[in-house]
Amino acid sequence: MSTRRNFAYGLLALIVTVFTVSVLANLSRLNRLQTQFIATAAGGGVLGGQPSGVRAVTPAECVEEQSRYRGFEPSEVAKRFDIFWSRVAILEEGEVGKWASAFSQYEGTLRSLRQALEKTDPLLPAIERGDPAAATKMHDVFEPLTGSLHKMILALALNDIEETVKLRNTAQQELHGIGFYLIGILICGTFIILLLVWQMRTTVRETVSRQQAQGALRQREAQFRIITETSPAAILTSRLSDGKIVFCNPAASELILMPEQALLGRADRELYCREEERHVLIKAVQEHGQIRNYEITFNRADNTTFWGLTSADLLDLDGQSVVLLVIVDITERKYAEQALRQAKDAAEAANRAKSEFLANMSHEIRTPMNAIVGMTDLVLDSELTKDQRAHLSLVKASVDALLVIINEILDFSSIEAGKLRFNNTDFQLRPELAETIQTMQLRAEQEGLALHCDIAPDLPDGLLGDPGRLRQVLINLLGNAIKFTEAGEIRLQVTAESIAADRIALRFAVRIPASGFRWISSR
Amino acid sequence: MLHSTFLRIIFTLLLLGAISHGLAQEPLTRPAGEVILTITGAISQTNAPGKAEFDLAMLKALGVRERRLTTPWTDGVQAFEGVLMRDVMKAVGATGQEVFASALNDYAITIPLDDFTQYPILLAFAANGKLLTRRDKGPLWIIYPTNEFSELESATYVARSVWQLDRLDVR
Repeated sequence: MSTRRNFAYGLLALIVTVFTVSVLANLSRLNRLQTQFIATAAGGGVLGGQPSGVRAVTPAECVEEQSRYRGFEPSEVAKRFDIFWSRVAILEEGEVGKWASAFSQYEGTLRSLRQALEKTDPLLPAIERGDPAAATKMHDVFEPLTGSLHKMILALALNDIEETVKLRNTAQQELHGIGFYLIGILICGTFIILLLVWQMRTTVRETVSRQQAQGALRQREAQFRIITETSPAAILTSRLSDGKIVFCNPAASELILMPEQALLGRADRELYCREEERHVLIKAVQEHGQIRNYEITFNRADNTTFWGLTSADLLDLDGQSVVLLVIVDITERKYAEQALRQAKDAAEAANRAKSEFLANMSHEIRTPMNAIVGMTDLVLDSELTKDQRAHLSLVKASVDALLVIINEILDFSSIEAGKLRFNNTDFQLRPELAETIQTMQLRAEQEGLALHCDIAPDLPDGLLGDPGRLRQVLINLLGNAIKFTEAGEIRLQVTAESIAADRIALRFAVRIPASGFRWISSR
Repeated sequence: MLHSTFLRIIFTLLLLGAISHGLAQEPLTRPAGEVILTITGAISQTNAPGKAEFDLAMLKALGVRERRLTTPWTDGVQAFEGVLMRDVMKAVGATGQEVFASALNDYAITIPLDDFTQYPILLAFAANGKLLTRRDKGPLWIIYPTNEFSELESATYVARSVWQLDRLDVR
């Protein structure tokens, strides 16, 4: 657009220049014509008097006229002689002389006239004295020249007219040229002015709209400034190229304990406690464009540190890649979290210590218990009274019960103490289950209950695991079922929950009649 | 304020004096020598019934100027001697618009009086130290300073350069 306009200006200016030069050339030609014209005007009809047509009177004619009409007037003749003299001189001198000399055919005439003047000049005193003979003599000298003189005057006059007409025509042409060029200049000038006005209007309009846009921009800038200045989160931007901080908000200054002026231009790596954290953050933001909620430790100006929940964005500002950091101080939260974790760890440790104690205790208790059980069994094998046997049987039953309780405590404690170990041995599922069921069937029958076991036919027999623990769980489950069932049939169902190439999840379900209890254990 | 008023009065008086001096021109004397110029028409100063006649001495009394001028009828620059036409017009108290100039050779042309006020137009009576005779376009020759004012280079002013001048009629 601008190039086209400049081209238009250039073209118009060129035309104006060319036309102006043409006008100047025309004017200079006109000026030359003027000089020529003056020479012609000054010379044309010069013999006839001054520049225009007063008839030339030769001394001869004068003498003739004098003698014919008025009577001889010597002073008049002398005057006419002098005037004629001056007129001949005009054709011999100056610009006019030069002009006249171009008419070489009249050179002779002019010379003859001059000779005649020189020749008759001495007659003047006699003529002035009133000597008619002298006048006649003068008349006779000029008489033969009159014809050629008149011819010359006529020719010069005609030439004068022709020249004048020619000059006038040329001048008119030049004037027309000037007019044409002036009109051209006028038109081009008008175009230039129109273009200028148009451009000015465009410029003014552009300026106004730019100012409006700038106003809106300033307003938005002010809004953004207020937003960033009041933001409780610290906002910082640093150049990706050299890591220099280029912007920070008051919250950032407050957080880092450094005035804005000191922060700007500082390298952002000084902020990070650990260089590798900066490295990770910058790398992540370069890869993903943005990262959210990194927990990073930063340095303060007073050599303390703080935890910042940091989000970063990669922005393009004025063609520069900058990293925008938004940091929220989470130091207090971090400390609270730490305290909480420590408390939890302490509680857990205490609990573990307690369980360990219990496990140890159970173990310590079981050792003398074995002695009690063994000794009681030995005593029961001996000869005893009925009462003694009854009492000892009670002791035996209580000890068995106590041993079960202690075993359970020991297992529980083992779990708590992290000491429970699972064996990983090959075992046959169906014989293992049959043995357990057989044992429990005895107890069930004592309670007047029936116990059955359904094993899904698709289950494999050979498994890897801890059959002891499985038995323990089943005994507990079935024992509870027997304990809490009044009458009827208890049924253990074994199905596969999921089967993969190298692992199987079994589902053990104990069904009891009437009451809706359902015991599930799975492995 | 008073001072400036005083000055203004003084100035006004001086101005009045100058005007009255201009108005009260010295009356023209009678020509003692040969009359070379006769002025008639709208003039306030005369020295004969209805006309003002000048001899060479009277013209010279108006202030002789020597000027180096060119004409189309002479070769090179000529040292012309004469008086300014405006001085002549002033001497006779010319009041018209133009002057009808007539020459001995029966040539005549009308010249606007403005020419004389606008340009220093010479009424020459001598060239190169010699009085102009009738043979060399005397006794008087109106010469426009063409070489000093290029705008005078035109046929109009050429035609007004009257030689062998002897009469002026102010109209």
